[in-house]
Amino acid sequence: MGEWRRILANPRRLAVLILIPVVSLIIYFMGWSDSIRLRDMGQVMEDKRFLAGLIEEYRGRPLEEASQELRERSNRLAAVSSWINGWGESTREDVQAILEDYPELLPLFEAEDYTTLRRTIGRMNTQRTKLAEQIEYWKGYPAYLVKIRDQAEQQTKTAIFGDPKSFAYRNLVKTAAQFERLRLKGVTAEYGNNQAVEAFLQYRLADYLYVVIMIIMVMAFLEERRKGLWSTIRSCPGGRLKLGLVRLGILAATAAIYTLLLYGANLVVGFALEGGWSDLARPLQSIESFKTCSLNVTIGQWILIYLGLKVVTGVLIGTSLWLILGRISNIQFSIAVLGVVLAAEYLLFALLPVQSVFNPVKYINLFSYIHLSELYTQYLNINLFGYPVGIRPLMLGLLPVLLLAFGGGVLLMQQRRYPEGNRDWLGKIAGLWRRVMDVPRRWLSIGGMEGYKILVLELTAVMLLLTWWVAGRLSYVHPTSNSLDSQWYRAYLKDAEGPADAQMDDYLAFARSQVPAEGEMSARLGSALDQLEYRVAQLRERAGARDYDPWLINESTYESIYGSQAEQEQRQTAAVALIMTLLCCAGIMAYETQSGVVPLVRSLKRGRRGMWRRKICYASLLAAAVWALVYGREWASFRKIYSPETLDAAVQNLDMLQRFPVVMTLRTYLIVLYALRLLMLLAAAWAALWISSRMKTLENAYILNLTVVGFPAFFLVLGIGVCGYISPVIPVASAELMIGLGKGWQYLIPWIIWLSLGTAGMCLARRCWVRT
Amino acid sequence: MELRLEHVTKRYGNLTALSDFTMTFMPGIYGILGANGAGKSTMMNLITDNIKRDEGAILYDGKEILELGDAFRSILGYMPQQQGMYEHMTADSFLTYIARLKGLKGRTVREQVDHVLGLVNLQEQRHKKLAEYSGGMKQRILLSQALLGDPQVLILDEPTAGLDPRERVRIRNFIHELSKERIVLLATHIVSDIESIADQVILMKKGKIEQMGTPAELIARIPAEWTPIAYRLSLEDVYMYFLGD
Repeated sequence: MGEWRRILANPRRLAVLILIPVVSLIIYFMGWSDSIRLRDMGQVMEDKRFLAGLIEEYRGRPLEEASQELRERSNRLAAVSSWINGWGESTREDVQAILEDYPELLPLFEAEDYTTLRRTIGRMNTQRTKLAEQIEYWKGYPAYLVKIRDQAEQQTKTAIFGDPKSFAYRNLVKTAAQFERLRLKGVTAEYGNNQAVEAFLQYRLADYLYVVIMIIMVMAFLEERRKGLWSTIRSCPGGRLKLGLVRLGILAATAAIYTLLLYGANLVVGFALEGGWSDLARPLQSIESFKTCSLNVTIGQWILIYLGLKVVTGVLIGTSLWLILGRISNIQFSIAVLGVVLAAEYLLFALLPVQSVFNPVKYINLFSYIHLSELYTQYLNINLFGYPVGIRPLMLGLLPVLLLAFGGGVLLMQQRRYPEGNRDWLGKIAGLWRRVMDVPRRWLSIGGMEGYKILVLELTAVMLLLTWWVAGRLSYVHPTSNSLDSQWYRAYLKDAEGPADAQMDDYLAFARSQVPAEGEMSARLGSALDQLEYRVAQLRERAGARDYDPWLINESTYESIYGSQAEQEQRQTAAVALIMTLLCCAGIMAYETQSGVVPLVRSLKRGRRGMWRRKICYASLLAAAVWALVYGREWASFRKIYSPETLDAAVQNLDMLQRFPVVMTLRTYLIVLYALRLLMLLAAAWAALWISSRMKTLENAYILNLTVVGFPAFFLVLGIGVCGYISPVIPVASAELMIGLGKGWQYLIPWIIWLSLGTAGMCLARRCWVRT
Repeated sequence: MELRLEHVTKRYGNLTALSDFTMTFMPGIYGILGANGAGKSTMMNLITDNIKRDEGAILYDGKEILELGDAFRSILGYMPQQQGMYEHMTADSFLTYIARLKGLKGRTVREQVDHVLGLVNLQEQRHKKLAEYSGGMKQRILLSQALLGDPQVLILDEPTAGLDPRERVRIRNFIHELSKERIVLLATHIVSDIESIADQVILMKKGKIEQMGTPAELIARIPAEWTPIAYRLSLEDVYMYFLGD
């Protein structure tokens, strides 16, 4: 109990241990709902309920009949959408007749709320398609089993696979035999609700968080080394083997607890939200992800096996980390080695192709245990000395052996390893590395050393890599497919995009002459051309009033990235840029305080103004780097869809910017927009410097920066609008304020406030560092 | 060369750490003795401009050090009491960095770093991380950084704390050699460290100078009746007589 108490007595560790499952559950929920905005949740829940209702509605019906009916219903509703969009052959009366069968949709039609009606139909059809796809899988599974057997029979007769001593032949025979066994036992894919288990399988973050928990526990075991207590504890009667056994027990208990918290909880939430509790007695193969699984168990049995194995693999992962970290006396170096080992294992696991001759190292790998579900969702035999060995039986067979070896290893280490005087060959390599690296470091100027401190010692280079990775996963373009414009209008618009001058009139006249004299197409094309002519006239009138050249521009290009529709994407991007800037700059001043060198450095000739200048330069450069990494991606997304010539048009040609107070080209507008974003990130970096200068440790600097600026940004992105007043996300995103300038100059205020705060932060940080 | 403190006062709330302190330092070693809280470190922090004084002036060759700014810091060598350093750096990198911050350039940096590492006997361990150093080794590195750039004013706060006797004697002799052309202020609790090398000893109590003089002068101020048994008095007796309870 004493060891538990010691581990949990550290408040920061305890907070992290509590927060990880909570955060995991939140992220799981967000991933499950495909949204992070709280206001979207209701919609998502409705869709999920609709699908669950649909599954219940067709339960017990022959699969063929259910599939056909679903298709028919989708097609009928698609006809309604087509009618709304202005194409297809249905009439209003046809549409009304179709909607008589859908009492939930009819009121929208009668109220002529076509936008909502089309969106609702789209969502309903998406769920129907999902179910129809699943039905196709259930229908096809028996044939799939037969196909494996037949294919194996055919292929073993060919010259390439026919050698009975070859791996290929043995693999075919083994695979066919395993799936034939399933077929003979009558295993089939049965109808039911799979949503919860499918969502559970897709959530891979829990696997990584589980490893993080194990690392935290192992680091807690090794805390005595960091605190210089190793010799004292080792000299106590219970400080060797007994303590090792206690810690092994703690590791097992932690694995069990966090298996329930990280995996069990997700399953329970999934079942509660999606339904499907009653479908656990179906064969595992009823879930499409387990199509290639040769195990004859039910879904419920698999869940129990999985959770049990997760506990055992958790102990294995923990003991392996403990062995690596414990083997090296220097804690920092051991962490670096652990990072390299995990990275190497991951790269082998993730990057080696399945067909590679080296695939044994892909699968006989720590990550096979970390991503345990893949042993069940993938059927693969690897070539071991010419014989096919299934990765699942192999890894599960190795599990007790490795557990014994690693468990015994850590106990032996706990019992026998001395605090001092061990042969440390890794330490010798580290020494050699430092000796080599000291040579280039001698040539670094003060600025170079400052960069070395910030990028390497404060791990900011890792933050920048993380920024690059996160930026690659952001969505910058808001889908604008819901436009009510007809496809013909959009086609004309794309064709005619350019200055609304005399050439435009020629184009319109030519297009008009090409319209057929009569028939349905005549009406549709004529209507689209009317719309286009009206738009051109409107643009000319607007341009005449403010004296700029009218341009016909496809608005959706700009609207989908810089417009109000993309507000959420812009805020999300700004929040990421802001948080990463803070994380990059938070340590710049606090590092000196934490190291205790402030009095010494301040007594040196260039330790005040000289060092300060370099610090502010690096903070600004880091903000600029984050800006380039994040907004560079956004610009790249824009480059994919825009027409370069439209950049010469005046911004007022866009509806969203028609009231923009200054006449400028779109090119200038975008330069100003991106410059403002950079300026706001610079202000955030300067403010972070001040916070950093007040903190005594790096940890506190990160926490305070995130608390003051990061969390409000995060909550604003979640949809809690009030956080917009206390977070600089909106000024960083800038596009909302730029559009707002059309309504009044008061929209300048957020920029002015945050720029003033940033500048004040910089001045205060300078004062704090340079003056006494 | 002259460093003068004129009526310097420093208060922390109600506590007066240094009270109307006036003193002129000329080249030589000044041993500063006093109990914890006597004001030794406060005085050093004021000279290095690490804390703000409430009253008074600190003049170097007649000029206020706050006005001299970087020019004063370029002739200053400071070894703080706390063992604060960039622990993730090697000794080599740390000293190179400090040398650059002291304004040294080019080949001089290399030569100076090699020189001071030799003085404190850490040439062999120069590529080790400072975090792996023992307390005594860290102390020697801190002393070595203070010596970089050949400073005219050397302020050493507990320079021999944690050193073994051999290193202590070595460092003590070395400081003695340095003092011929420099002002050396040496605060310590180890009385024997300054007994043999200090030109002047300052006994501080409650932020003021209690006594000042050469070790011999101070010993002579102890009345004969203070010791019931006749023996050769030392600076430790001076400490006990003037600063003891």
